Amino acid sequence: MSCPRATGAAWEALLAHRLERGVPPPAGLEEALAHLDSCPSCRASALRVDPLLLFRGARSLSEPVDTTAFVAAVRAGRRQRRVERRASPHRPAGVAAALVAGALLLAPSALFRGGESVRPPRSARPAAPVPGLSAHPLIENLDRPGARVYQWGSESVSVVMVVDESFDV
Amino acid sequence: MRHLTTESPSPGRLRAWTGATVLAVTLAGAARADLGDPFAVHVVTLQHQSAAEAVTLVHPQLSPEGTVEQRGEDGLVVRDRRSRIEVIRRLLAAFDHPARMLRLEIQVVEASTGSGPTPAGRPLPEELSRRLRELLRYERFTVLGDARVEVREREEVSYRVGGDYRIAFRLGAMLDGSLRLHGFQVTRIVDNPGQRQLLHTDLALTADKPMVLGLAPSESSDHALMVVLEVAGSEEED
Repeated sequence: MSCPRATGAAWEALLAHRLERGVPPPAGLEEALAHLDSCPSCRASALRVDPLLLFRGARSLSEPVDTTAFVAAVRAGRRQRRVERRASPHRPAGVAAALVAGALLLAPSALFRGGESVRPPRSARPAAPVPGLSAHPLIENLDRPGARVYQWGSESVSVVMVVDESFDV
Repeated sequence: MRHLTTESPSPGRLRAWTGATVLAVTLAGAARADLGDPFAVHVVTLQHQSAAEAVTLVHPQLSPEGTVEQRGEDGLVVRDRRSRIEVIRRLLAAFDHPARMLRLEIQVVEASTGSGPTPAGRPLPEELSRRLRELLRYERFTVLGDARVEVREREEVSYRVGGDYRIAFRLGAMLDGSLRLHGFQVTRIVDNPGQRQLLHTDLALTADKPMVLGLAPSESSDHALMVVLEVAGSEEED
């Protein structure tokens, strides 16, 4: 059975302080993060909201994740965002920010785009512009097919982490 | 610049636009056209920017039925509903401007948890360091080298930064505060065998907002190499 706390909205609220400057960490944050150690469904929900949690150093978060399920979940989230864009193109910017800046683990295969004549598999409505946030991938055409890419954006900074065991940095 | 638009069912009507040279032919009566939003073909000849980059710009704006095709170095053929064509036409008009000089700041940064020796260099500005500490596991951010450069749109550049790294890319065109760096490369210069390319990719920057590109061997690594990029929003016309 999945954890009742494992909802995207709950984790968006808990992690909003990481997205918006001036928002203090909520009470109970440490307890919630500790909960991730023992709750895979919450961990998946939290990582969808903020993939950079993987880089926070909590031991359980540093363990290998089920990439297949993770990517599928993120893709589902992206589909959901597209549906919401179609349904409500003028939604509040704060909601848009949370959606766009949420987890975007880009499968390397999805990063490759090319060709001079293309037909897009996407909705008719263009991506809604969100002030300060990129509605599009920040990184594309990466030449490392085995790399894991984590993209995160807020109004003040964009962060892209590329992880590859072969990096000698 | 001269810009022409021809639309059917009034093909003789001409309009002047500021932007690309445009010939738009609405295929009225086509079998798949809706009466309210007919299918159209839009032929564009760019004056200043490359068609290849325009393709990447147009692509996200197309409907599921739409296509974009590159014709040579400066030509595009866009097929889509008229409402989409109108959006794309305005986008291309804004995009097809003369090359401008843009200011970029590039910093190569070593991020670490603080457990190892401190590398030579100055700390990253405190505000950005604090933000990154909130997001990541790293505590110390040391600038190994930086460059403040002026680059013209579409120009290819290569800089040696911090002695041991080379950053190379081709600048795209700034549009609505967004800028693409094509073929962005980070190369580490070592004695043997000489150079080691770490990364080759395309990046999308937003004006006046730093992008932190981090390279790490694992999510739990105690250190990472970071390239911090920021482009100034003010643009100078040629």
